[in-house]
Amino acid sequence: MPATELERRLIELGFVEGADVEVLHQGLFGGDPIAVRVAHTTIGLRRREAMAILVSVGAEP
Amino acid sequence: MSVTAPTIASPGADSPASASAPVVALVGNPNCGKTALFNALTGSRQKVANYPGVTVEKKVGPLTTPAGRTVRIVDLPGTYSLRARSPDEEVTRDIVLGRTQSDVIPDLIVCVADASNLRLALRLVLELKQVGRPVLLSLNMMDIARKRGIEIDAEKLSRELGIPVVTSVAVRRGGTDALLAEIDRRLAAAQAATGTLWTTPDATALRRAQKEADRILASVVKGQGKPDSLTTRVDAVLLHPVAGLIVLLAILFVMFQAVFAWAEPGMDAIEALFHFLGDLVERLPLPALLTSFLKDGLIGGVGSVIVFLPQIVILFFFILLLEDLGYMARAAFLMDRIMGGAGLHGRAFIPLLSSFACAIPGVMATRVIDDRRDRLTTILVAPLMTCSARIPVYTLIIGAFIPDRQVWGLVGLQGLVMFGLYTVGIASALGVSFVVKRIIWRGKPGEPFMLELPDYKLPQVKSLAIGLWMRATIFLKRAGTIILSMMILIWVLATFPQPPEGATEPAINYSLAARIGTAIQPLTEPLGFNWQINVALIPGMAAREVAVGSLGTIYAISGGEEATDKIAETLGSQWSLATALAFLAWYVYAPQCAPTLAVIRRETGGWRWLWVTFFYMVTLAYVAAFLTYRIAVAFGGG
Repeated sequence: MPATELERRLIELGFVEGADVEVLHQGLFGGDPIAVRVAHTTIGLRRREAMAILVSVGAEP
Repeated sequence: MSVTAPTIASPGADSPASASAPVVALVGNPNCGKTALFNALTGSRQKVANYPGVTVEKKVGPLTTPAGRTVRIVDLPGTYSLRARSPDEEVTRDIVLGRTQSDVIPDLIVCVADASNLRLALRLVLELKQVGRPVLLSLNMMDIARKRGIEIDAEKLSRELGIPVVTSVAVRRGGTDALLAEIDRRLAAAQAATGTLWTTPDATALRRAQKEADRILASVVKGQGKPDSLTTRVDAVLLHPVAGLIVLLAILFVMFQAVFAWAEPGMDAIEALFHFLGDLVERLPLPALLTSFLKDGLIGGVGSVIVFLPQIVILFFFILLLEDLGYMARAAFLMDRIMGGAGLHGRAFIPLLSSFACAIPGVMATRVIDDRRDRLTTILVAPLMTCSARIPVYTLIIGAFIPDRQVWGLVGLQGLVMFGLYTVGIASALGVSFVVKRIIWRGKPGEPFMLELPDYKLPQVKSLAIGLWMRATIFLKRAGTIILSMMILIWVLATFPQPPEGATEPAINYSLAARIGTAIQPLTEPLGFNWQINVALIPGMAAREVAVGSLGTIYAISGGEEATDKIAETLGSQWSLATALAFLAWYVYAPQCAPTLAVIRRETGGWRWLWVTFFYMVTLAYVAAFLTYRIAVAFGGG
């Protein structure tokens, strides 16, 4: 999948700059896929795609 | 821009009075309670094409508003955006933008949003506003949001968005009053659609819209800080890497157990009813030929199929329940990696699970898979899941040939064989998809798996009941049309021509059925099939379960009246064990279902995948039946 398409899909599921994210669950095999809470929504996705999201830790206001 | 004149719907497709009624389209994110709202608005009057699973196709239902206006409500597949990444989302996009050729062009768009999960919905609203049609926002499931301490300033939200905002509780009496009143008001205003300003958004536009949605959200919503505590606690177990998988297996086990155990009283009752009807007909002073037609052809044939209604209803009950609870997305999440090993996408789990009920809704449900290759693989293997139409055939053969005894004092041998047949089906599906992925689509990278895991919701009894009612109706319609006509055909073939005067052999040996069955005998001889089986296989093409009724009719006519209720016993005395096992093996694979093939052709948009499915399944069926027969004979089962 082209990077621009992946970017659009991630945004449509709420992954935009400034949103709080938290990893909630991991799968049994290789910890994949993962369940991530972004703002108030929980999204399940594979690590491969989650790698496209840049996260800074401890940026709590 | 020219406006397409609304085409007159074909008679029966829609009630004539409503063909020109204004159209109100429900649009929203997946899991926003849109279908429950649709059910609350239209009740059971909705018209649904085929089996609705998860909504993958538009559904239309009539509604009379408080002002007495007749309106057609259209329920559309859930989506996050009008960009349409998968076939089900294309349905939504085309109808919202008025691109369809049908007369379903929305006069009003109702954007349905889960009030406790507004963030992504607001971005969709901003997109819908660009379409150029009147839009209103309905904050659904307000009761749940309030219970969780979420307060929404609807008036302020309406000002910020520049569109009317109403609240709704689909499940409560009067919960849709505000929505209905607003629909009336909007339609009375009769705003004409303006030209659409919508263009496919790029990442920058999406990002800007989401930030705008976040700003509005922050200004109108209070108390959305904490996640749903029930969902968090339940997910600690259900999404636990080990416990979650164990629970999933347990749920599946209970589901299949229930299909067999719970259905029994209902099946006994239906059986007794048809038995009674048969006896009744026998006592009537009718010509022998007519009695035979009514008793063996109609009542016996259709009854042998309708008896499976309880099992089908129970299976669909579980599927709808898991869907409404919000568990299906979790099941897909848990299975993604495991199914990925076999070359299937995590999202394929839901279509494949539906295929246990029937491959038709299963194939249709693959529309939620956005990648074409992943979708085709799923369609290809969906018919290998043991559908409910195979249950009658399996039950009959197992009852006749597998002794009813306990194995290791724990499980019944018959149940074990049934379980084995399901397992063979699943294993074959995984094997086929593995081969397809490695050989046909070698080297193509896998598509991403991204899926919202919605908060758990209590299923609504009414919505569930309507869902089940729709499925039961579809099944009974099928029994009354395809299956009925096949049973009549079989009876005619098995009865005519009548035996000559002074004939010594059973009457059926002189019939057309016997001639056809004998003619294809050379082909099925290596599988251990006799001509009676060959005859039963032909109508089985229309619907698998017909084979049971056909065998019943054939043996009833050849073996005298008393054989009708004793198909199993008759088979037990006429078939060898090897033949019975080969017949089961054939049924695991054979593409004996014309409606499924038709749906594959429709969903893939051509004949090619129909033929691929047909040939690979026939080949597997033939090979499996051949091997089973030979091995069983070698072990003395001939």
